[in-house]
Amino acid sequence: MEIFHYGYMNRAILMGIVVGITCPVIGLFIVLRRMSLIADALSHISLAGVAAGLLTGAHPVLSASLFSVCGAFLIEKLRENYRTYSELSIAIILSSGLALAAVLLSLGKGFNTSILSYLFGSIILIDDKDFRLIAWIGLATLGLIALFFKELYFITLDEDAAASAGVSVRAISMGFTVLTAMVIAISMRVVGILLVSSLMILPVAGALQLARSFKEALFLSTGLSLISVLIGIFASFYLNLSPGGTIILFSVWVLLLILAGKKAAASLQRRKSADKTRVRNTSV
Amino acid sequence: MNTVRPVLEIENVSFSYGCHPVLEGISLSVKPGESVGITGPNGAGKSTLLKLVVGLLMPASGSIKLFGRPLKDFKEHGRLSYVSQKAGFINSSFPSTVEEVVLAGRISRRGLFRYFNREDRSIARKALGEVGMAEHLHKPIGSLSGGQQQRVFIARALAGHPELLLLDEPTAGMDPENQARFYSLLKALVIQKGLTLMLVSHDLEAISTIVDRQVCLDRHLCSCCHNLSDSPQGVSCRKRLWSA
Repeated sequence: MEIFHYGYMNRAILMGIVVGITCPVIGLFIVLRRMSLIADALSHISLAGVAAGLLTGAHPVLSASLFSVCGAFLIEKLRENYRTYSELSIAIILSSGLALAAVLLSLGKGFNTSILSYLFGSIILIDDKDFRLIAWIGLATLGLIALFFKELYFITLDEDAAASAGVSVRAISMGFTVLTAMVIAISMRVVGILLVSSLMILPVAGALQLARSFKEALFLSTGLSLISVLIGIFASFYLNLSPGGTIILFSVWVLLLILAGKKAAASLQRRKSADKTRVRNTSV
Repeated sequence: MNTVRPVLEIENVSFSYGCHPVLEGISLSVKPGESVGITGPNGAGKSTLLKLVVGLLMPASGSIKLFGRPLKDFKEHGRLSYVSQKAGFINSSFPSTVEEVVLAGRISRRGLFRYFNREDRSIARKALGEVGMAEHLHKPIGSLSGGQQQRVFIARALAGHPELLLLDEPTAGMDPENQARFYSLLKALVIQKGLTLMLVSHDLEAISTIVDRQVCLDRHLCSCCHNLSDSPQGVSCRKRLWSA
């Protein structure tokens, strides 16, 4: 296939696989812990990080990671001030991140084109350095999730019971938020800052409709995300479309398909049981 | 002299949410194998007391000792199991099988960086059998009724092989028939395993048959009612609860 003849496309596909696995793995815990807004806030502060990186000459993925991790710490710190309205801390960081990004972007007037590639994703601009960085961060994230999987599951299921069983809920939650920040920073190259939280949430939303167990939900959301990411990358190569947009639109389409399929299966089931009752009544 | 070290010692503990005092000067000692019911009206601080005991909240003053150790030095989390009131409000679409939920109770015994093994799985299955839910092992937790879910949470608590079991309103939302069935199962398990039980309930009558004594919490007061039906303390306790 023509697509595999280009070095940058091979890199993009491998990176798509890393991002396509890490995003829904993180996303499953985020959705079930009702923290979806955190991903949005951290992606907005990542944008400020990218702008700072472009302005100072630092690697944008690294500066975005740094900003995002700092944002994660600030959210946790602010949460202590707004215990009863904890989503306020997320909203504060979200708006601060966006405002900071706007100011930094206006300082560097020349990088309008490159910032677009970070907003909506661009697979052409991925170089070897990006690739190595993203692969390492992605693999480290998956390794850490695997290492603390049972603790993360218990915290997600019942935070109080987990804490009483000796699980360090605070430390693990903080570590998890930092991982979320890192995954957002590495995913922006493929799906873009504005769409990264969608890749964390949409495949999980689809998987939750079908999964009967936690492990099933994990594998299903990863599978759905990988399909969407690979189709998005292929479409962006052959049809010259934005990879981020295509990936997310395809994810939405898969979700709608699952919802429609489930509804159809339920009505089929209802009709079958109604038929059975009718047959029984006639025979009586 | 034969002195048995209490499982739990609460001494002069006070706690407040912001500037609202919830508990004041609470003292309570629980012996091994004893079943203690904590009753009182809504907002009396029953759940708060349990949260203080398991270390989810820190007392403003006073001290709490578990198995003879001050709470801040207590590290043997496997010796106790806590089922919070929140456990009963699990989202019905939470993707988890009954087995996964019960296995989580093995965490304190398994420790960090170690996965659940065949032994954990067999203990989880056994615990489910003890609460009469063995056949639901692979079912999604959201597909069970409220009463069945509570039995699964008890199995999760039992899977950790605890000595002290702390339950916060385990029958919330259950009808009286299921409630009675649940409490008789709980009583049998507590006796069979020699567990120490701390049970929070707003329903004084319902738990009176399964606990050795009841502690009545009413905002800042705590009185121990050894025999609720006869003692003057018990009568005043009832009056307070019924009038609340």
